[in-house]
Amino acid sequence: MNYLPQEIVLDILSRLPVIPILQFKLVCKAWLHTAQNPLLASMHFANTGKDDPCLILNCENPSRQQLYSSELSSREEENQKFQFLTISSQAWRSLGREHYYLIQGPSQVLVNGRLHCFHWCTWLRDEQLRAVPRLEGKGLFRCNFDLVNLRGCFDVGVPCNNGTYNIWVTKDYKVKESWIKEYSIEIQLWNSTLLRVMCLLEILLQYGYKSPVSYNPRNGTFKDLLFLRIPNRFEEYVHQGTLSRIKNLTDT
Amino acid sequence: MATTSTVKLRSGDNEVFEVEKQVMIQSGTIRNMIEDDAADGEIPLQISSRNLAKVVEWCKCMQHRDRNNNNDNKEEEEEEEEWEKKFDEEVSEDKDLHFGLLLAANYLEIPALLHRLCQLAADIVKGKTPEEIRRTFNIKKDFTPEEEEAVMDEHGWAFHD
Repeated sequence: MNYLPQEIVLDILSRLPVIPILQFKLVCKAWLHTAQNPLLASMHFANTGKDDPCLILNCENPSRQQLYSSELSSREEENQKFQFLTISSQAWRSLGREHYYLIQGPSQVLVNGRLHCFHWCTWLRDEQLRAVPRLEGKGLFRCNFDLVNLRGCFDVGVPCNNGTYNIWVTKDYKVKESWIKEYSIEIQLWNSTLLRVMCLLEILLQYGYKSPVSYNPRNGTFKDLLFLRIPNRFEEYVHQGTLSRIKNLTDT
Repeated sequence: MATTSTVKLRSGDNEVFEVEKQVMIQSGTIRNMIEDDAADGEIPLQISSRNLAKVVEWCKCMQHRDRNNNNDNKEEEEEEEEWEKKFDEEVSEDKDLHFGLLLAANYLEIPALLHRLCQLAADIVKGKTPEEIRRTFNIKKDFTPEEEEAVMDEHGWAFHD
């Protein structure tokens, strides 16, 4: 592969999930150099929307904090594979904290390298705070909506009293008119949290500490996601693997 | 515009392929030459006859498929799928052919072929350990133990099952 033009190697690499790319770095110096090309992160980001995200489960019991990650697949019969991670080793702590911190809580979301939470968005590169216009008159109040990331877009889920969970989507949230109501899910969910719209087919819903439920808006069916050999109490975070790095943030 | 309906491609080892223009306009490079009326003589290409034959075969199959897209001919559809499956297998098993075609598709500007070959390459790399990748592509490990450790330290969590 060493004699292929750089753009072809980058094209090949950008089609891989994050972990194989990290393994790619260990092959030889030339491959390490290629995998560190800044272009790769953006090419990879453009391609990952096609892939399924992974689900990270955070268990705080027993006392040592542990994370499990699972490649989520919309294909029905595939086995769920978990990677077991612990935050005890120095090396992993900084990297884990990066992902963990940024997607902590359902109303913080990382879209295109910016951290968004409630009314503010932080541009992590220059650390400027910008206000995102509020969606007046669309049922959005301070405490009853969740921000999620749909393939680089920006979504807001609004649980309503009449049993309909509305999901608004925008490509450019600075433009108020660009918000459109993408889905209306007819369900009675108490204290539910929308995790993320997966692909365009699956929507994950979470009730408190229970296993998440996957909802298919096409045929209106629900499916429980069961994870074996994982402690009962955990919080889930849907994570879209990205090669973008946010340095310095993790050491604070 | 040129009057003939075919184009002549000469491989690096001097074999001439006469192909319908309709087939070869999938290549951006050839299409530009046809549009500029520069495709009347033989077009010399730095591509081996083996690789060029495969590229032409692929272009013919894709053009055939696109032309029949509106037909509901199950039998032909299955035949094409079978052909594509065989193409994938042959390319995946033959590293020289795979890389030669990647270079040819890049040079001839055939995006659909390039994407397919890149995806095949990604599928080959996926799921392999660094050592297995080295063996597959005949690569020599040139890290010192310290350098290897530095990469491992950075992403140690990714290398354990």
